[in-house]
Amino acid sequence: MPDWLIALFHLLVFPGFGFLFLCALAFQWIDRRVAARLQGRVGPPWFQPLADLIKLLAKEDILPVGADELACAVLPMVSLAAVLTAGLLIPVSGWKPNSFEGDLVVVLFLLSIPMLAYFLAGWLSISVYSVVGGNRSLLQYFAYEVPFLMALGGTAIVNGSWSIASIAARQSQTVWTMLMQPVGFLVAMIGLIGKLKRAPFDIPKAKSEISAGPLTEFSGRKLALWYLSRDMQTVVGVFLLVNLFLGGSGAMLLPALSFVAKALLLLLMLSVASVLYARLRIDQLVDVGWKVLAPLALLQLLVTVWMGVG
Amino acid sequence: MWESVVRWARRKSPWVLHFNTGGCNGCDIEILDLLTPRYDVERLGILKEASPRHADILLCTGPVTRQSRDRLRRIYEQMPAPKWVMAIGSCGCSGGVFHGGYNVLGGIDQVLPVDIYVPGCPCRPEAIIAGIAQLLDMVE
Amino acid sequence: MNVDSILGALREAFPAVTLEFQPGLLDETFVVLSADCVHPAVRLLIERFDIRHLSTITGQDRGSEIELLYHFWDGRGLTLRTSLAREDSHIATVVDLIPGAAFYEREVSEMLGVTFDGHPDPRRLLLPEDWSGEPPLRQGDSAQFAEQDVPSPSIGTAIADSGHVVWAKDTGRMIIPIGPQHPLLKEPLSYLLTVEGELVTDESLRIGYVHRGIERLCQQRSYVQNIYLLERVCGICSHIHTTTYCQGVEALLGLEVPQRALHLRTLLCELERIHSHLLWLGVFSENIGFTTIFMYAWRDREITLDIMEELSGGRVSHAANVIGGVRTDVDKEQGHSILGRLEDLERQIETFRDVIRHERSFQMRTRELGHLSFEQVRSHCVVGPMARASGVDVDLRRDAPYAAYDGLDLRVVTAGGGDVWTRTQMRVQEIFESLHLCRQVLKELPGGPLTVRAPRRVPAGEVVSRAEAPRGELIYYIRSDGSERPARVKVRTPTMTALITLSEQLRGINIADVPAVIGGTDLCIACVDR
Repeated sequence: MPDWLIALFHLLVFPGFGFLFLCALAFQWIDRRVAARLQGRVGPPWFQPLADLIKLLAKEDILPVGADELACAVLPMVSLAAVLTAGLLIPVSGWKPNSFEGDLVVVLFLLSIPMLAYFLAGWLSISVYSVVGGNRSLLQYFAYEVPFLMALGGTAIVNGSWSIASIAARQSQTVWTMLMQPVGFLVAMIGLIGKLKRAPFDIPKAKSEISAGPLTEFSGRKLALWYLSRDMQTVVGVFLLVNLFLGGSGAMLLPALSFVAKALLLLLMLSVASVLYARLRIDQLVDVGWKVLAPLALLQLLVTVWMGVG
Repeated sequence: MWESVVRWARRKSPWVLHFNTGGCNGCDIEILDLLTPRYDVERLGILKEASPRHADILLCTGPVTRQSRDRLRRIYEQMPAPKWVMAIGSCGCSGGVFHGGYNVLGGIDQVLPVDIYVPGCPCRPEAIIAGIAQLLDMVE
Repeated sequence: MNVDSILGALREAFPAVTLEFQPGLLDETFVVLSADCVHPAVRLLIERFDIRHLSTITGQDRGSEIELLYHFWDGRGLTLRTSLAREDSHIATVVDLIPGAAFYEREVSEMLGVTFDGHPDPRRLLLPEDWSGEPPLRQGDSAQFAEQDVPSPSIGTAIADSGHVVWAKDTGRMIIPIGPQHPLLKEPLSYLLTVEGELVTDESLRIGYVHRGIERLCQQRSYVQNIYLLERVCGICSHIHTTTYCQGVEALLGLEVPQRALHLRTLLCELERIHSHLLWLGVFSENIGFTTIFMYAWRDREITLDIMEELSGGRVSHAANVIGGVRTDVDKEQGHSILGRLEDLERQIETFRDVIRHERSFQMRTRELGHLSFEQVRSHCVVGPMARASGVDVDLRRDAPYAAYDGLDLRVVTAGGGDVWTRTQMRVQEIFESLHLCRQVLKELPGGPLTVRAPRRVPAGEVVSRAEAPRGELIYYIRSDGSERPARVKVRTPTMTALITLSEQLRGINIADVPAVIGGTDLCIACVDR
């Protein structure tokens, strides 16, 4: 098979668009189902995310007068493209893609693009709720991003590499980073909840306060792309943490199986967290971010560096 | 082919928006009740949306009062096509017990094209689900 | 309240004026005085007797003149009655003495065309801002309302409706509309919040989206038909509305309602209170983003709905009351099964109590929010759980026992905090008291008939009927002119008083706290708008 065909396969099918797309749908369904069960309900059937997506794609696409049409059309695609690119760089079940030293930094950079697009979408679609939601998403970004980066940086330092694949591989020789850096893992999980704007940190899209936040004015195709990009972010975020903290696919016999099991475990933790707490206020989140999470992450980092030196 | 897939998706994913045009709360709490464990309409794909831009079906309760008429029309216009309107409760169907009041214009159909009428004062949650199901059969 | 000493003091204060004193039904006292005496008389009541609670102001068209009734309450009812000229009717406002009278006066003003001199905010309250017809409660042909054109939206509603960013002039402030359609609100009302950053600096409230003109409709229907109309003032507290109305009409008729009927009314009242409080707990939790509590509270609310459906046939509207009794019964076996289910419910509510007391994120979102002091509550005539959460010990079930409350052991829950958290805790505590009452009623249910025969014609007269709705004091004024239809039915619902305080609670808070504060007051807009 020619090289370009293989590259195309990787790009479109595995671990590219097709795989991430299926994972996104599956993750959304599992998440909704688990949350529903925890709330004493049944939850949606397995095809629900797909039906929602197709329905939105086939719906009329309208924007209010005065909104920036070009930006509103491009932003969801930018968000989706960034997430997809990040997805290509993350090792999945033992398959090591375009791995290079420092790809962790690139992935982290790519993963912050959706938040920026989200903020701009809120600002440019001129609804009041969008503007407030956009501002909040930016504030939230500053609250979780620093502790999140520090926690992830800790894994790079302890495993002596800035390549996600090497970090994962190293752990199969030693132990899971989660066991060495429990505090770092906790901070990273909380940071991920903030990054994904999931309950209880769904502040930028708090339904009872500002309707649907930055996405209030989006409909049809654009909304579908936003939702898809949100779900893919969940997938990429979870895969990233599996690689960094849970030893990736590990050196066991069935790498795919162990990878999936670990990913589902993290997803379950996210779902449980989303039903257990009331939504925080944005200033409370900033407080938590800077007064609790950041010092904890810093402490973890210092301990790691000190132990490394010793 | 694509057409039939879209039709299937529309039937499986009706997102609703709720607007009270002058009702007494009775039907409104029954609509909210749909989301809760006993009825749990999420298993039928029904979600209650916050923004008119995201919704497929407009659930209207209550008779239309003078002050809410323009707002009702505007919400309908904000919804992307294809969209449907359901009049929930006897008041929404005809003005009900408030018929003849000086501030009441009558049922929802005085202002919007209504696709499904769900009578009852207040109508039971089961009736609302049945109404949505009938509406989706019409989509077919 | 010592009526004789009040009367003496009034006579002393206005020696030149003839005061008329009329004892009324249901322990209400009417004092007739001239229009210019009202303001000084109110001042006297406040300063000499510390009577601050103005339940409402009723206005009615008596043909030759417009009559105003100021209903005070201090353990007993005291009503000041005055008359105004039909043309160019005006009277001095009492808002400077009782800030809580602001909405009452605005309503009387638009409904009867009375001007209140010196009112700080004389806008329309319930009618559309560009209503151009006759004031709706002045007597006259109802057809004239129908001919009027539907008004175009006024500027205030246009801003709220467009939903686009509106910047207040050159200050960098933003105006955020909440409602009329907003996920926070199950019913339409419209708040325009002026926001600086995330802080609310100003607000403007518009209600009347659900104003159906029920008071006017009441005058066009018979006494029996009105039961079913008034039940639909509000879908959450439907039973207490019919109870208050029926007990008023029964007083006019001089009926002795059988004890069994009174007990069954009480049972439904308390079940309704449980249902209302659980509903509120759910909606409130959803407002602050705690969906799980919403789901569980509403799941357990179904237990009370099932019981009520079993008793009356309706989940939400029960049509259980008739004039002279009730039309629903409980047998022994049913009573036993209900008691068992109430046990289950109590266990569930104990879980809620523990969760909302100890869950930290819940506390972070509710503590020290929407604070109302004891003084604020008194001056704004706030009633019910809102007042009790600020330390005002008032509960009509104990203070003026109606239905079967006289013989029941009732503990009134009060708390001193006055913030949203206190209100939350207190309402949940009230559910336990209601369960306690339900059990007592079911265990001590007396035998006997369910109804007494009520004549169709009601003798001329008037009555002020009060009851404790889930949200506080509910007051009905009913006047009969001896025909088959009431000449006037006035309803003042408890949410009206809570709504006045909301503007003070909202200023200066974070916009993220708006849902918590609005949710914490337990609004029922259908009740306010009628």
